[in-house]
Amino acid sequence: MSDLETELRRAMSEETDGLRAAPDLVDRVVRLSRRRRSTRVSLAAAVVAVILGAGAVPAYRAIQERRQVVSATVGAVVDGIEVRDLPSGLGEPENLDVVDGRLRGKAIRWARGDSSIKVTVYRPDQSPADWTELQAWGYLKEGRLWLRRGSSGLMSPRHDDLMWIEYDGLILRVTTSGPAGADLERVAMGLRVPWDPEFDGMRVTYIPDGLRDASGKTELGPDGLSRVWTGEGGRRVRVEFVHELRAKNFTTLRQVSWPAKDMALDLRPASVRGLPAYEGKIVADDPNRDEGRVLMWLIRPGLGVRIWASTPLAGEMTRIAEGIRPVPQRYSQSVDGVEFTPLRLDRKHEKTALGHDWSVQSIHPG
Amino acid sequence: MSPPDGFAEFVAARGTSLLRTAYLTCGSTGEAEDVLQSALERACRSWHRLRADADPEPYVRRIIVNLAISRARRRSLLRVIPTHSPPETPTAGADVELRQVLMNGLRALPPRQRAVVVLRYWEDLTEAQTAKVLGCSVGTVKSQASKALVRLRALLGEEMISNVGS
Repeated sequence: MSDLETELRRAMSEETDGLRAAPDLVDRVVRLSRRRRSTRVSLAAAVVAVILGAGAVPAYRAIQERRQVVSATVGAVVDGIEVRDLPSGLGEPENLDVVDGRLRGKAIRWARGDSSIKVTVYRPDQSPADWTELQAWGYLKEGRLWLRRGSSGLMSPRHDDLMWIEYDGLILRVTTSGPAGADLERVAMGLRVPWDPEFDGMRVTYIPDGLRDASGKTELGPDGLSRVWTGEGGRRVRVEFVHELRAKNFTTLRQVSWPAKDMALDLRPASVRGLPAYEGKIVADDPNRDEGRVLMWLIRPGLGVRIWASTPLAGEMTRIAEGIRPVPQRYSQSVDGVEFTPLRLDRKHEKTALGHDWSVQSIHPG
Repeated sequence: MSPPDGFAEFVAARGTSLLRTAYLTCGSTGEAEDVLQSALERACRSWHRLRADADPEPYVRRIIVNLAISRARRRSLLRVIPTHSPPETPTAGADVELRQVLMNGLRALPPRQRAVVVLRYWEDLTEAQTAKVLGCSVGTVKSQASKALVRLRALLGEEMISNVGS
């Protein structure tokens, strides 16, 4: 028994003996830290602007925050978050502004007798990276790791306080007392974070129940912009809009740029709202491993869509695809997510440029 | 922008050790460098707090291990990066070969078990310290360590174990 442990120690020591931290590690860390301090939203918008060029105005809209509340069976809404699955008989809630250590937020609280439920929403400018940092900030120091939703969370030892990072910039917390404690996780899992159905000039109108926006933002990948929804049991779907030469035709659309190793294989003809499409399996490194399915089609040359779905969601791909619609053109224009209407200026000469400190400027000569 | 007081000295003194921990919990050099950089960046942001509390190393190590576990879990969903496979029929032989078999076996463990092995047998943390880093109970650490060793033995094969034991 002990010999195996000794050999393990020796193997780990020998294996790592040649590793040395890079001499410029501190510089890189400090640079990264400084970059994170600047507004992530404007950085993402600027990068999108640089890559897609001035003609890609809808890309700015992808970065816009548009929190929508769309539900018919919502028990209550606190700071944009819908509270569902509440136990009955709790009566009328009270709304609160809360300050919990470093975090400020909005809360809603139900109380009857010795039973209470409180849902708190924090939207900090700078989120803790994970549960270890949550604890370092002083929250649920005795808590246990909880991973049923969000990126990272903590459950108190008495199972009456649950706090998790839904995604960067959004922290949720459910606190209970008395008999309501039995409903803690049900209330937590029932919270719905409305997501923006529009990005990259398109609108995603259908995503299966139980899936949540994984990051709360549009992701810029090597081939275009995408959003990811995830749920329990490894359910995952990514909707990706592919632009320009990457979406010239099906041959280019099926190729995924480095560094992703996913490939679409065994493609078979399919159809999305009458447009020719292809459906196939996703293969990464191991061709025998089940990576899910992909459905892709060209809305027009230069604009393609790829839907990547884990196997349990493969049957939903067509419905998701048929729910994707272009967003009608708006009259007013957007610069870095801020809408404005340049009256009396000639749009023919409009230019978009990268300005000071990663800002995006729209210039109208004349 | 200059680093906070003491941060550069800390990285200079402990960077290599932390990189090795990251490598063992991640299984690849590139991933380890990424994880170390992310962990240090977080530490840099909270540096003023860390210095006031105590030695920052346990905190940074904790971030590293948990980042490695999170990434491994995410990877198991995405399957973008290959995972190393254990050898099917390990054979006893020179030390280098044994080391390779053991390291492949370590990489083949589930991320949490791998983290327990690294913290217990590489960092030489106690079960209680390991539990604190991973945010779980001591009982979980014991069971994960036990399962990991059983699994490593199974991967190594009886012949290899008898040679290791001799």
